Amino acid sequence: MSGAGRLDPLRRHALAIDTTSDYLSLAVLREGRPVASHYALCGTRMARTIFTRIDELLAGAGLTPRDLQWAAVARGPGSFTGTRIGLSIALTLSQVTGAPLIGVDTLRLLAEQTDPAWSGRFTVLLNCARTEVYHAPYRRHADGRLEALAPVALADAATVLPLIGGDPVVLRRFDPAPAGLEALEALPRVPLLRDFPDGLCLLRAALPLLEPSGAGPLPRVEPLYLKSEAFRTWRPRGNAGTGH
Amino acid sequence: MLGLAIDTTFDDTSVALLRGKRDVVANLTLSQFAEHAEFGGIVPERASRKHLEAIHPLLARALAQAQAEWADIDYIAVSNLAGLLGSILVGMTVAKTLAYVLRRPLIGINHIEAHPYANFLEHGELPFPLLHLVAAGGHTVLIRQDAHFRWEIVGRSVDDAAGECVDKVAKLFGHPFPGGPVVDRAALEHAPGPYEFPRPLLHDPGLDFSFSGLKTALVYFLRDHPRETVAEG
Ligand SMILES: [Zn+2]
Repeated sequence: MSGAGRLDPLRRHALAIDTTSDYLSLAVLREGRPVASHYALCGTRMARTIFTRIDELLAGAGLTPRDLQWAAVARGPGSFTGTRIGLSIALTLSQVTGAPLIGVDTLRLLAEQTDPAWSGRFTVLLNCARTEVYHAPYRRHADGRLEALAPVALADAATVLPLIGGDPVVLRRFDPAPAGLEALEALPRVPLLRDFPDGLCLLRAALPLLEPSGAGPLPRVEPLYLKSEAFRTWRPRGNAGTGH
Repeated sequence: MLGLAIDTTFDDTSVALLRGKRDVVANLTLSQFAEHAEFGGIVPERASRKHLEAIHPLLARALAQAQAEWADIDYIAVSNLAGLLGSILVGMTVAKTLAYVLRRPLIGINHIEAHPYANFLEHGELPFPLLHLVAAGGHTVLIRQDAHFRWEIVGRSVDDAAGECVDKVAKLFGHPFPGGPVVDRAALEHAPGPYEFPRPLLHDPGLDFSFSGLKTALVYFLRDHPRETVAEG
């Protein structure tokens, strides 16, 4: 695997993959310019359609997977299964081609949607299931730079409010009507430049991480689950079960 | 001809490289049994997470062991059926990505159909028709094979799988899940006693099996016999 230091990111071909939600989000960078993007509701068809979509985007950009010089992947938190689809593809692609892989937290992607002309401290909130909310504070500096102020954490909607203080928020919710989120809906919002945390947000979030930070190889991208496994166990049931 | 195989159907992450028809040049399996022991069974979400952790390092080690490069691989095979959906998805997605990036054919294989092929690896070509007994984990099936990819299941357990019965019996004796290996060892180490246990469907015209009666018989056997008279595993 090549070190990140040898790359001139702005001139390179790259692929961004985000499968952490029900939306399949892809983007392609050619010679450092975004040339193709896909963002569409996909749901459970993700695993079946993603290779067709990737191939269409790359072919449209005149690229093959072998041409990619780096890749970015959303590493969660979000759907466990979805996160694994994206990481399985991105890690394999990186392993075979030697292209460096950058993992980006999903809340950072949401932060990237905000208007860079607006500066200040804000909190990103992501509601995936029930009233649980992933949250993380960011600061948009006057020069446009985005800084993560703390790692992503998980809280119940009721307990997250005091943590936010008076910060404006970026809020994304997938569950259409969980009770207990009304107070979050009422919080002041940060102005957004992009309607969705699409693949271009992912590429933009990944770029600073790709820039030279030393000669060594990038660390392996790990999924960010933030929640432990359900303690439901599987036991064999007649011939409906599995192998050993 | 070099083939790469990936299996993540249950709690083992397995990667193998096969040269020609019988030359296994790498065969690596990472078992998760210990990871699940504290729950007394397999936690599907944990299994999926472990597969993703394990699969890429295993692939790298398999290639190194076979002294092969990615470009040397001619085809990719992956187990696409019979198991935990989330676990299978990891192996399938990795295999699909390899097929896509390397531009090589991808072959999906039912894990249960793969079991009899251990015999072809061991003995080379065998004359058809063949009768295979697959008794693995949640499966107990009798398969008639008339040619490659021409199968017919001619018998199966009508209730518990053999492996499930053995696990349950081990549990009756107080062994933690999975207790099958403990019973296996005991069977090899101890001479059979003068005990009569039911063997259902033995004189039935069909080829099906039944094991739940055996499990029930063991429950009564343990009730009627003090613990110390029973062979220790
Ligand atoms: Zn098996």
